[in-house]
Amino acid sequence: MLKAKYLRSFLPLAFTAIAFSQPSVAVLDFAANGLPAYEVETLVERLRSELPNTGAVRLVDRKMLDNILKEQGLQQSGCTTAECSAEIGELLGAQFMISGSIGKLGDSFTVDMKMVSVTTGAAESAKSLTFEGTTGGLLVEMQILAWEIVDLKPPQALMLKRTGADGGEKITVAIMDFDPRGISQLEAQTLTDRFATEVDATGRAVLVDRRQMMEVMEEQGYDDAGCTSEECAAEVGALLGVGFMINGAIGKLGDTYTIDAKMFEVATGAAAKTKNATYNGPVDGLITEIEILAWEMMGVKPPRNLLQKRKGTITQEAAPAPKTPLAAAVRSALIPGWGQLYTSNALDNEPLSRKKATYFFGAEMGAGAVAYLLYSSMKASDDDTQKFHTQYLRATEAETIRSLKKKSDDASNSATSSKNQLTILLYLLGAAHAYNIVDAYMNGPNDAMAHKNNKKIDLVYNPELNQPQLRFTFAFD
Amino acid sequence: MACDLYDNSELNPRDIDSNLTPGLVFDPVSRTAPVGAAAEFEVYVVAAENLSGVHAQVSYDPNRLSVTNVTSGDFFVDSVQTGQSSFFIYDDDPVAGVLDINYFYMGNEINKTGTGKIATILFNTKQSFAETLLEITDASELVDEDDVDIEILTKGTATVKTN
Repeated sequence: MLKAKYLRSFLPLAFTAIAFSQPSVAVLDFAANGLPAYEVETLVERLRSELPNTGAVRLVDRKMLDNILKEQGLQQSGCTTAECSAEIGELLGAQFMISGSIGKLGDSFTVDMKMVSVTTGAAESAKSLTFEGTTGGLLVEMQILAWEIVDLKPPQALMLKRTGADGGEKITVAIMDFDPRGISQLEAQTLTDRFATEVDATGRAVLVDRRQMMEVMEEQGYDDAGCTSEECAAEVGALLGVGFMINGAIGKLGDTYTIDAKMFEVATGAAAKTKNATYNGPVDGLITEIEILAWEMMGVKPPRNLLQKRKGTITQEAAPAPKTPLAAAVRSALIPGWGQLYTSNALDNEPLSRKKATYFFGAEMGAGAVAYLLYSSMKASDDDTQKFHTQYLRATEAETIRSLKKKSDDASNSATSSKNQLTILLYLLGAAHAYNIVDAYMNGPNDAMAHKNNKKIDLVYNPELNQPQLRFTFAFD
Repeated sequence: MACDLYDNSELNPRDIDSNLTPGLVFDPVSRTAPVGAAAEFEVYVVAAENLSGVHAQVSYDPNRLSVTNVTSGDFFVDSVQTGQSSFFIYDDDPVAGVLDINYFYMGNEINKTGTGKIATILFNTKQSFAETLLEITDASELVDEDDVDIEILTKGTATVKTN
């Protein structure tokens, strides 16, 4: 208890010691050139609030700064020279002073700042930035500058905010190098880069810089080729602070290339989109296919000029299968409960359909097992009937005749009984199966769930044959 | 259901109620044969007691059937092993359509109880017909060792069909 008491007394002292071990910094208001003073004040305030987060410096209270300036008869914005800054800093007891200016030229913002040592009067660090975008985006830049002015690397999350600065409803995505299968790592990287470039070109995603991603992976002890599992990708994605990760594989089988790409949500691990393509044709056509895949992955129609560049033959292009009540009914007709399971999957694992699938499958399998047992019993009894009857017809002794006749009749009765039970059971099984099919149809995925491009037959252009082709597709899932 | 069960309704000709024995019967009770082919029947004595001799008279349609061959059964044969001998003789009248079969022990004070085969008859079908009847006639006899008649309570019939 005494030890804890001493420890509690010592802790505030320890924190104070740690706090005073950091150099103190005061941030003066920046000069405004071409934009309202209040906007500049807001931007500098963001710089001030971010500086303590760096853990490298201790920020001098703004009120204290204002009081000193008032006593000296100066306005903050009026103290722009290094000498003035050093003088104020000395009065504040600060070791460093940060001052600067923010200007606007057309659509560009400029930020210039420097950190001056109060003791020497020399500029310890200076940063300049030209930014194109909104003032909101500039707020993030001020946060980043807060780290950079104290010579620290900004955190990944902040860097991602920067890349998403121009807003919109973009998603943040990191793309892992595609797993090479039958091609070299370098080729896979090149194709991944092309994919990433095209994803960026869609304007639907904010991409994490490859270098940043590699750094995170290195920190986690992964090399690029070693992080192919979804778990690893999700881990890296979480560290990068992205919403989605894309990984995949590019394979080569003879003259055929396979491309598999999957985008999944980092937070849940759920697959957001999966695209597969099998391509047969020249290599440059493969690049085009990868570019097209990038657009499709982002849910955007590829540009016409890209589609016109298409070469070779896409023999398979897996898209989300259309979910229809009829498809559910057909599935349930083949395997009891399959249609309900199919519906459940269409409704994002809807539990009721999943339960029904289990019940239908279980009930019909159970009834099927009982039916099999009854059939076996009937068959065995029928075989006995025949065996005893044959012996009965040959028998000559009265006792033997009577005994065999009885055995044959008993076996026959047993076979008839089993057959009757089996008949009833099969009728019930048939009714249950019909109900299973009707249920699958009635509660099957509705039109709204059906894929928009629900085409069984469509007309496609085959550039290799230089002619249109009629294509028939059927989903097996 | 499509799977049919075995039909065990066919009766053994020797399966006669004890109140209706002794009997003389055919086995089988029906045969189908092509024209010109043979149809084989066996004649059995059923549940006879103290039997020493059998006279089985079989009537048939001589226009449709002819007797090709008649062989002895084995009812009295086991007695040969004990030093007894049996006698078998048949007489066919192809005009009247009557076949007389005699099968008996040689000597006195010998008899047998039970069921057994008396003879095997081979008929030949002469022409095509739907059905013709074979009968054990009332002239048939069972006798004991004292040559006393044993009443025959069941006299069998059989049918021959052509296809």
